Amino acid sequence: MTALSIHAEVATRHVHLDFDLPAGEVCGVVGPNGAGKSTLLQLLAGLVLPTSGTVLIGEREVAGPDVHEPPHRRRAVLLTQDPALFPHLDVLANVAFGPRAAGASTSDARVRALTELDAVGCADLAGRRPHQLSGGQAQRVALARALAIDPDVVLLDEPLAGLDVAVAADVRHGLAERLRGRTALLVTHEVLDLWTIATRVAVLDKGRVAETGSVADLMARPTSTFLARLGGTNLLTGTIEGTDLLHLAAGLTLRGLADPAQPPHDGEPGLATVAPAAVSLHLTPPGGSPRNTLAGTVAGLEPRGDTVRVGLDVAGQTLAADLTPQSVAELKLTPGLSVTAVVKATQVRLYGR
Amino acid sequence: MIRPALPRWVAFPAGIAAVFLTLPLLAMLLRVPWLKVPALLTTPASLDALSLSLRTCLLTTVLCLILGLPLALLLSRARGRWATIGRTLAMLPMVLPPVVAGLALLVALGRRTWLGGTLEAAGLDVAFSTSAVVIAQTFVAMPYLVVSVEGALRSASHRYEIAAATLGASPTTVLRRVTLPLIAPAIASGAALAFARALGEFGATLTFAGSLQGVSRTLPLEIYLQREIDTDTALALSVTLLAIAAMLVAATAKLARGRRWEP
Amino acid sequence: MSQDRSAARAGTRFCRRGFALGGAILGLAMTATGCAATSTASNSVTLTVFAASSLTASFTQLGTQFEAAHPGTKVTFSFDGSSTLVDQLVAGAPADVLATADEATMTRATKANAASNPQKFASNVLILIVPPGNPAKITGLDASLSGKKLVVCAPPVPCGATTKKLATMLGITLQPVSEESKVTDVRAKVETGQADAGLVFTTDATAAGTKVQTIPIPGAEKAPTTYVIATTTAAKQPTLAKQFVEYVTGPDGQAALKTAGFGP
Repeated sequence: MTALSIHAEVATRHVHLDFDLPAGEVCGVVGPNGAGKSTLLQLLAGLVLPTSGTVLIGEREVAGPDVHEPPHRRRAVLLTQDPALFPHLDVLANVAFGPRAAGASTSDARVRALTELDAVGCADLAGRRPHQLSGGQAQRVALARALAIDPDVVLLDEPLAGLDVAVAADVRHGLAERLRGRTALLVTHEVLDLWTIATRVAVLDKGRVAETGSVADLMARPTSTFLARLGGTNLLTGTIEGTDLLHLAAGLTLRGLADPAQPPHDGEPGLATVAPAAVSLHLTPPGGSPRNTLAGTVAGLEPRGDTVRVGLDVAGQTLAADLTPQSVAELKLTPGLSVTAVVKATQVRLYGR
Repeated sequence: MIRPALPRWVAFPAGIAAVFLTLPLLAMLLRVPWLKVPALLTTPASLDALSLSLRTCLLTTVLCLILGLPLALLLSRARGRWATIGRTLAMLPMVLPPVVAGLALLVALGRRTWLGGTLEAAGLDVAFSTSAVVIAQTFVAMPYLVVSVEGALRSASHRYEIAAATLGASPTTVLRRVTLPLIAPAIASGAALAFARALGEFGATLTFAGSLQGVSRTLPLEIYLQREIDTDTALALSVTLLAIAAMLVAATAKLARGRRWEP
Repeated sequence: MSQDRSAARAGTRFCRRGFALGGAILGLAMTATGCAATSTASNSVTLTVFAASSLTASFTQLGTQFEAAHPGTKVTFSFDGSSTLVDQLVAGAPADVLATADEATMTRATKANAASNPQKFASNVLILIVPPGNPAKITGLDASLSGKKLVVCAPPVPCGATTKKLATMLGITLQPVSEESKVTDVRAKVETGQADAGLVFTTDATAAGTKVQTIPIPGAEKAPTTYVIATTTAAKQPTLAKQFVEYVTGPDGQAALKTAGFGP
């Protein structure tokens, strides 16, 4: 059953989205800034009107040529980086707000609110005022408040972005637990969020949906550079030769292991992923090695704690290599320098489109 | 952090300003025949004026809230040229000389005007009535409430309203349970200001409503009249007005600082 | 130590500058209101007259005539309610002559030793005024006023005191919808048609011209108000003040007052 169906355009934002989501799936929404991620959520919440097209939640058309359901009738609840707890109400009244607005009696709403608070582990905070909560507590209460209305869809716009790493990890697990089995969209920049909370992922780029699929499939075999980079891996594209060779450009090939889940085919376009840590760099090509050697030039250097990520330009494609600062110093790497990248064939995963 | 100090010379004009503002009030307090005040305030004329003032000002404040709040809500959402025109018109009575306000009411609602005549024919004769006092007070006091509330609404963040709407709250529920409670301090201070302005209203009432004990002769009108014969009563009534006004101003200042949601 | 000294220095500076600034503000205020005492030419003398509002038209005319008869003299007037004028005079306002619209108010001034030797110089009687066309069909102080909007002066002011005296004398009870503090406010309410009828002095009705219609009240002449004029005890021009009082009570003054509607 389809829970969400968006086929709509927002002309002023240069966004044109075609997107469907089955019921009960939590879909991570990723993409560069300005790709239209927030617009997608706002279209569903009713905070942005489509210039053309339709938006469906379940069987209900909530936005279309002649339809505009106001936000309060959509049952699409929005959770952002800002918990936006009502400062004049205590925590319990905040969570009871939705049920009260839906017509529940005061006592029923309180019971429901306590249940939701308990589910996110915040029942003991019921009597507090929002300003007495920590960031993580506030976000948990906001989640409880959102779920208390039994929404048809939960829209989450980077709900963990404002939190400390340790707190975020805690809240992330809470979110995963409470969202399991619900229909939800989660805008994020964190690959950890995808693995922990989402079952599916949609990549948005320049106002369009670039690719969608299950988290496991797309993270294992990304088809966009953005997703590969998010997953911390290199993505190279070319043409398959035989069963285990990717032809990148004239004189540049990469041998690897074919992914049995989506095997590449001879003569067809293919992709390869390589972990940056599996790439080593040499100033001169090492002779007589069975390993892959790729000639490239250094494009940039980015210190990352105990490693340095070296960006290489390999025949117009980008290949990242993680080196120790010591190696970078010994090789005297500077942008523009010609180097040879070496990768073991066992570290290369090949798959078809 | 230490904020850079003010130049020392600022104290000189500031001192003069302070003396200038407090001296007349202090002088009045010194002239008041304190021992006679209880007797002077309990004469029928004084009691009538005091009670009339309090009753009409309360009614005026309620009217300002019922009518002024919705106007402030609309103005706070308005954009563009019409919004500017609307805001200017709503504020205008604040800067009108009171007599001009009275004249304006007279030519709009007077008995010889179309509107006034129609109302009188319908049995709603406001001329020389307590209603006329309330109308005059509301006309000059409502802008204070509208300006105070509209300012608070415009500077308030929309995030709570958006959150409430996506939680299923209808526009009325959002207004009642989120928007208005959040600007409650501004509403209260606006209402206090409106009450204070209504209490001091003189010119428009005199011009539009007349002056009759128990009907239209409010505290300021009684003071104006008593000044002709009995300065002591005028002074006693004046300090009463001053005391009420001082309490309102103090309350407003406290409310304007607002209840702090965040520490 | 050094801080103390600098504070002390700041203190003296404050005083000096404070005075200078205060003086400057005072100066500005005085220039703005044109009350600098030295503004008149040195060879002319100024006579200041405080007079009741109802005397505005006739006294302005008398002043011009008096100036013509006394070259080098300039007469300036301050017209206001009689009570207000007495308050100002008692508080030390500079005036050479005081003219009030009733005797009671003048008595207040003489008791306070602010004026002396008062003389009656005119009288004024009440008259009923109605808007042009008399829309409420008022015929006098009678049953035609029942349910209509009558506006009078409040008892504490001279025209109100006279109204009270008249009602008592006629043995009637008036039921006004408003008691104004100024006779001009009564007139304005009738002129605009807000009130159906008003009780004012004859001179006010005369001044209103065609904006009101008048209905004489039989017997009103038996309850007049008497205008009183006196020189002030603090007069800067006592001789000239005496001459002005004589002029007002003399034949020229009386003729001008009669034209304006005053009685003898």
